Amino acid sequence: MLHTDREREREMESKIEAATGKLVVKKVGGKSTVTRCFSKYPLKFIIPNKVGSSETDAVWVYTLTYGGGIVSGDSISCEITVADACTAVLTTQASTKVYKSLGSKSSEQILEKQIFRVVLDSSLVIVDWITSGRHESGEKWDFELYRSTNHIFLEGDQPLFLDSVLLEQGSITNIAERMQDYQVIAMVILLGLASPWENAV
Amino acid sequence: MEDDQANVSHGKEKQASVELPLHWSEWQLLDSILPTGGFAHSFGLEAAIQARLISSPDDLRTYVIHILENTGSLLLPFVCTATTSPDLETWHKLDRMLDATLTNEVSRKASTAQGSALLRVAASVFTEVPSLKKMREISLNFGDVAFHHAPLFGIICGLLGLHRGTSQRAYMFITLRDIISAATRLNLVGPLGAAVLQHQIAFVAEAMLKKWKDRAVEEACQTSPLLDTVQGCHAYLFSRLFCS
Repeated sequence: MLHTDREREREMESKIEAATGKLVVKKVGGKSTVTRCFSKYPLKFIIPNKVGSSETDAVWVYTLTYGGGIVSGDSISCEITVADACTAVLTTQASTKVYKSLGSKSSEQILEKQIFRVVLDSSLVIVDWITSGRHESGEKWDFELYRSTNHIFLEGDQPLFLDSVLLEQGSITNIAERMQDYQVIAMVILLGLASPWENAV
Repeated sequence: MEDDQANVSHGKEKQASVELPLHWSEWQLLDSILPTGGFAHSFGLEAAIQARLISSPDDLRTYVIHILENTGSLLLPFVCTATTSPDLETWHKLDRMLDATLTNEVSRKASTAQGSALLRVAASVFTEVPSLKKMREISLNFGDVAFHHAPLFGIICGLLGLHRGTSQRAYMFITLRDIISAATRLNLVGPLGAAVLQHQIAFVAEAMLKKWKDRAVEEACQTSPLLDTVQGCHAYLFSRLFCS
């Protein structure tokens, strides 16, 4: 039983490996600019010009999934490179919704992985959060599996922050029991925060 | 024919005479009387009580099971890898990874405190394994080794000759042992009730072990983010009995 679960996980992970999006941010004319932008279905990047204060040098990138949500079988992976002295914000238009496909044989499984490679004087702000579902429909931690991984590595692959949260319905413990009366869980990571960031944040 | 049988039974006796002393080391390692300072930690139980997450024996049972599951998912991979490769390089790599993984400061400090104490005791007690003392001295000189508990427990088991199945089961056992002990001192349950509860949960612990054993450290994850957050609040408790 365990062997099959792991095989399935590995299969999903190898699907995620195939990049769905790629972004490069470099300094152009003294401003942080997206110099390369690639995305394929179901991912789309939107890069509006006038977000945030004009005094702040930061490029804002919104990721969208077609349909506004994720269904089982979707796999999305992005690679983003931010050059020296540049600032980029990566966010979503609204909360990402996970839909259960009716009659689908595969259970709702969401595997999310974010790897950040930083240098000594990098600054990084990460907000990763999840709510328990659409309460009006009676959803409260009603999914099969959710796994979110956030890894931060320094130069030379030195691990700085390795966090992986797994919420899985089990035979002995279920997710709602583990979350008790809490419906939202959020993690905020603040790294570095050199002075150019004070305005952006 | 008779000679063969004599050889087989002599062989079995020889094997037994090598294995039997190992049992004594194993039992001593698991005995709560080993002075590793485990009694100073409640695995977030004290914070959970003050956060009103636990108010009945059923709540306690549920709490212990959740902690055991999290021990399995987060720490058993470190115990397993360390037992399989009980060398200095592997230990330091695991120690660095776990330091980055234990993002909850309270549990990180508890892990380093218990790990340091465990290695100090093991180096003094198990003198037939001189590499324990050597590894400890080298690492103290290094300066940036955190001495986390789970990898060290695995290293010590590995160097003593215990199998990774045994070391992982043992790690679940000492976790269960220590939380139950903390529960009695926090007056959640009496000593007899604690012993009954420990035996009942043992079956669940074995199931957890089967689910989470023999995994790679890259797969390590936490399964109870709420309890992790609550344990992190331990430092804010106005009055407390335990360090964590």
